Amino acid sequence: MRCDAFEDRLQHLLDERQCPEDDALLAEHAADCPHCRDVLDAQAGLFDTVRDWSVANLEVDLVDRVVDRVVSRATVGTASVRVAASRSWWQTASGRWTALAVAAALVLVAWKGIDRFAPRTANDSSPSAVDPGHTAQNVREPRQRTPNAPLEFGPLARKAAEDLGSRLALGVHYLHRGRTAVTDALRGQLSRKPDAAPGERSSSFLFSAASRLAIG
Amino acid sequence: MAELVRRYQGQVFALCYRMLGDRQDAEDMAQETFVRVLRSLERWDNTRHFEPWLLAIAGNRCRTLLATRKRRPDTSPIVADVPARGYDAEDQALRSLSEEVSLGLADIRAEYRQAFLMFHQHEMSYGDIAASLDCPLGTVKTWIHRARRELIDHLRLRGIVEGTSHAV
Repeated sequence: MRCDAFEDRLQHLLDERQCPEDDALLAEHAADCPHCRDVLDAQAGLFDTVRDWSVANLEVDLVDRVVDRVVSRATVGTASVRVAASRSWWQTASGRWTALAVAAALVLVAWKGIDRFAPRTANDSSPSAVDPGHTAQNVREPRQRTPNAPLEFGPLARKAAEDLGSRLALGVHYLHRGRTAVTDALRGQLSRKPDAAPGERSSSFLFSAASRLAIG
Repeated sequence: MAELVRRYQGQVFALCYRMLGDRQDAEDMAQETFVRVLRSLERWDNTRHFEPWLLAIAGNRCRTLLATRKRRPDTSPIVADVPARGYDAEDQALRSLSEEVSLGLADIRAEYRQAFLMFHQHEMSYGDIAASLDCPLGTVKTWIHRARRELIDHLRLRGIVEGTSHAV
């Protein structure tokens, strides 16, 4: 047996959890090879020593420490979820910032809107009214207004109002169409259910059922 | 929960102690292991043995710690905790062997050490170790063979043979 074969066999026996000192082939080679005899001697006792380490003498009890940490973490986690759930949207930082941003945007829009749609007078000194360099399309004729006449909004304001109205109308229209589509779909489902009560087929019942499904 | 910790704390601590060579760090890592295990218990595949999974987590925690801190030179082997007085020559030799094995272990790569301890200290099979460490069985086998060879060389060079101590 050569030295590399000796090591292979030694590793194999250790893999199989057998005792290398009892192996005749290893003993035979070790008798003639001082290096391998040293290896055989050195490994003897090594693995018993390591096995004896399998349960160490633990001076502290980890049970309380671990349980405390796990329980406190779970309590903190639950509490934070509970607090988060009980908060209104405006009580959260992001909610407050959003509200602030919306308010600022509204103020800005209102201010710009007033500035843009404000009725013009003969004394209006805005550049569009007085600047001779403007083209004819851009030059707006100053409206004459008697001192007691009510304020009158310009055509852009009227157009904006009309746009808003038409968008709202369109939104309502889509809402109705969506409701009809859901109702039709559920009716189709119920038509396969012959024992359904007549009330179950009503639109409002079906719509509320659809809402419940969507929420669920 | 408490029963689980009570049952396995000795084994987890033993592995951590041999991996780290420091009692305080080993206690911290053992504690951390149980906290992690209890928090991720639902991820345990219950078709597999629990102990290899637990020890793999402990070993991985130790390897992470070893990677992040500079290894302390003054590792205190567990046998050094036992007072030397009152022990005969054979006990002294066993203590000496244990200390040398600890020193040898401290010098080998963390992956080798973890696989070696799982096989020889906790008597886990190659298959269980490979599954726990999520690496091929052949790799585990290579790591353990290298760990053995390095440990045997360390003992041979230090003149340590079974039952006696001839440390140079």
